[in-house]
Amino acid sequence: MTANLRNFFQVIIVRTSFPPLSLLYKILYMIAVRRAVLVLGSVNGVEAIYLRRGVSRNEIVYGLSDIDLSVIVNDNKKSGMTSVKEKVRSAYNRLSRFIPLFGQANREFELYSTSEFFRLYADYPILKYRFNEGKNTWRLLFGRDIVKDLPKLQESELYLTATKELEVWWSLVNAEFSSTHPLPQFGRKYLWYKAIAEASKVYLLICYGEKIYRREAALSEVRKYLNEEQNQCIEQVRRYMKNLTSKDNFLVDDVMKLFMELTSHACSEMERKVYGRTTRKRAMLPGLDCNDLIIEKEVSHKLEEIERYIQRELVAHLDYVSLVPQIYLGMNVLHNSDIDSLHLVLAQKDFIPVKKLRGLDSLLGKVRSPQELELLIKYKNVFLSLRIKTKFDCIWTPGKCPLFYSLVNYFLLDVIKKSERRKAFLSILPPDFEDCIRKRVARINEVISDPDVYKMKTLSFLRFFWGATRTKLLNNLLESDCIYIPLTSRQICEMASQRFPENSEWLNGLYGEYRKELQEEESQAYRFFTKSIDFLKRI
Amino acid sequence: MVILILTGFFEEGYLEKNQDSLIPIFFSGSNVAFRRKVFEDVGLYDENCMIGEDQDICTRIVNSAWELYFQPKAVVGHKSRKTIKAFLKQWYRYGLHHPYIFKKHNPKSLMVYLKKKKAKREILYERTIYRKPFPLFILIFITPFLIMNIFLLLSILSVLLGFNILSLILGLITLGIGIYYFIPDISIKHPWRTVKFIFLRYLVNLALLVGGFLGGAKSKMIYIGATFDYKKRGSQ
Amino acid sequence: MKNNLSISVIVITFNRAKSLQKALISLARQERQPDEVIVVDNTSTDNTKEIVLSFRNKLNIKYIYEKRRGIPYARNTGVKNATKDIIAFTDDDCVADRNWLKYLEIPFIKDPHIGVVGGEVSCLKVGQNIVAEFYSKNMPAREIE
Repeated sequence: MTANLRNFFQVIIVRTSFPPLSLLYKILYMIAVRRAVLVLGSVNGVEAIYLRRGVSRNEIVYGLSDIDLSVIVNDNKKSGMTSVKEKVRSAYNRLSRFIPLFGQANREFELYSTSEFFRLYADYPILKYRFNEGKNTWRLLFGRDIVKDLPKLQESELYLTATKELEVWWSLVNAEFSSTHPLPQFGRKYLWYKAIAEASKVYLLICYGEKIYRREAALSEVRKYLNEEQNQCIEQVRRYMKNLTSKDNFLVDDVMKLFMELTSHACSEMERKVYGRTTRKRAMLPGLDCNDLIIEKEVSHKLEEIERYIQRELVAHLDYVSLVPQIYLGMNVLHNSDIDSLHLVLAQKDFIPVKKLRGLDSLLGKVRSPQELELLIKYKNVFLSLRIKTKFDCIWTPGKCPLFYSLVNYFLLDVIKKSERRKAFLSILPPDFEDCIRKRVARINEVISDPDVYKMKTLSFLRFFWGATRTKLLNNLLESDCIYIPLTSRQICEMASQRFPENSEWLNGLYGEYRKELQEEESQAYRFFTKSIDFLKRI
Repeated sequence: MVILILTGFFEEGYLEKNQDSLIPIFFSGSNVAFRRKVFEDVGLYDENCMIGEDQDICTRIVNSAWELYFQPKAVVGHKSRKTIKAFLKQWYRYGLHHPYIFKKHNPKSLMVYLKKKKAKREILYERTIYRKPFPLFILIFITPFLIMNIFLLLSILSVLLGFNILSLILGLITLGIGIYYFIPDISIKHPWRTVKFIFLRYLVNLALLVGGFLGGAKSKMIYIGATFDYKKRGSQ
Repeated sequence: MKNNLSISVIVITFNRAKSLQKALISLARQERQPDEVIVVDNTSTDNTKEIVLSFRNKLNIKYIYEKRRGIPYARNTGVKNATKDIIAFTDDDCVADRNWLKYLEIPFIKDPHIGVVGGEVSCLKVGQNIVAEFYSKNMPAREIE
């Protein structure tokens, strides 16, 4: 169904969502759910089928709500024969192709093996939060209740992971900064209703310990704690929901500001409660000079344009601008893209209208480059990513990411251009640093044992290699109180050569070839694949 | 079996080992390189395979743990046969020897295949109409060329038996299929060349088909083979 | 960093001395030289042997006579006599591009799980005969260096 046709039908259904038609829609949804259970449940090896999100909480908007399912299957992998997972997936694909009520097969349909389910719960905070919430909000449609077997969450864990939920919604409302919004007007309104409601839930949980699962209830409850201006915004959002299909003016700045306020408060409170008294290890971060960060021609070109735009449009709203090397140590970014990439940070003095930030989006949208340039805006005490590329690590706060904060404060825009080398400086490490490193090491070891690692494209592999080397080097230093953390590929190469001098020659050779690859010249990097992988296995 | 010589129609990269597919991908013996250990693992060339030995060995490699990689930048120029007669003989001999390879690598069954219009990278013949174990080895590819010839034969037969109207209808169907099949050869700018190409393509495919059938009979199987078709450059 | 792989190139031939000569010239002109070239003569009756021996000073070339007629016999004989890590094949009616071996070798170095590398077979337009034209419609025609 083309997008326009689909929107047309959705509008009609939304407009006619009153009795008796709404009863008909409800029945259709029920039939669809029953059909899904029948089809998916009949596959041998399915352990459980859950109904998630809006539909399971009876917060259905007919025409807009999707039926979101989670299926958990047995672990058995029979080689040569189609696995259970594949069978379930193709059954769901067939189902969703004919019945438009189901969530997208590749994004919203969740399919796990039992061991995967528990492992993802342990390793990925966002899933930890959602699966945990599932104990209270998912509806078991078939099979045995596996969710109840998930280990119980400590309060601090709960608050920590709840902020990940904010990141999910931030990544969705981020579309507002894109010059071409992917959703039609009614879609945007619905999205904002959900976003504000979900942000309110997290805010209420972290700041006041209140566990509210339903959106309307959350919106009512949160009003108690907000000021007049913010309450008006809540009402606005509720009005949008009541008149989804009407073509009134959509004021995005108000809702954006409210969302950022809720996020900021929730994150501060989370830090106070979770990190307030933890002792932290320290990190020694090297200074940079302009030779360390290989700023490619494309990125350099982008930066010039951006500088001009900032001067013209944004400088009145800004406190400062900073250019910071990327350094992700979470589980989301393992395979590449952050090495030698940059964050451009805009610290807001006051709220910048969304329209002005859209201009930045269109600037960045034109040029493609393997080296990323991520945009972050600082609002009060949080940094929020624009144009999110890495999944969900898009809200940075002082307590959670002190490493990042110190980089921001340290590297201002013109530092990179100057040729003098800055000295090293100290920072505090994130509280889950050691845990993250250990988990990354486990995952890296899995990746390098898989023969498919050789199939990676050369540049992707090289970026993965530098990142993996850094992780492994840090893993060996976890005992010390002050850990040196290299920021760029050159610094990683240097550190590895110092720790393992017998490898120094080929590491430097590899670095040379890496530079060639970045400049899109013909390189001999392929000669180093085997050596690199062996090296990673040994350290 | 169609000769799917990987010649610039695909991008550089690993070949997908779709082990369900009946037709394995292979590299032509005029431009291929092996790691020596591969021969130790899968064995040497099959000495019963006078033609198509490269297909046979690649099939064995696909079934092993080794990966196959296509590198389009490694180029070798190949001279085609000089005369039409030699060209047809070459393709006749291909047809003659393919059934042996099929039989070697597949269990006894009855298989009927249909050609997919838009082929995915290596898998041209994906729509299996029918595939079942069978005491005799039967492999049939249903292609427009085959259907065209069947209608042609039927049309000739009906002329001989005196059913003129029927033969006319069948003749028209034959023509229709023929036009559909030979469209890639048609070039309005060069009418004489069009005729030559159509003629040549018909003969090549006939040689391939007949060779296939006879080769199949020799290997005690029924084999009605695929055809030599045009593939658009870079098509997925 | 020097590569550690060595390459044997095997060419099977039968009564095509002239074309074989062109093929061997293209091997001698390779940017990445083959470490060994083995020509398996499958019962030729022309001056194939002389041509092969004439390349002695340009290539590390071996001449082997295989009396059993048939391509698989010849290929296997070639393989059994090859001593290097990688065994590459080309035909006596082919001409290899200057960078043939250079690009053929790369995947083997990069990924130790790769067992076979195949390249592109392009069409040499030799004389404007109908067969060559017909073929070139199916296969890419490329300039061979």
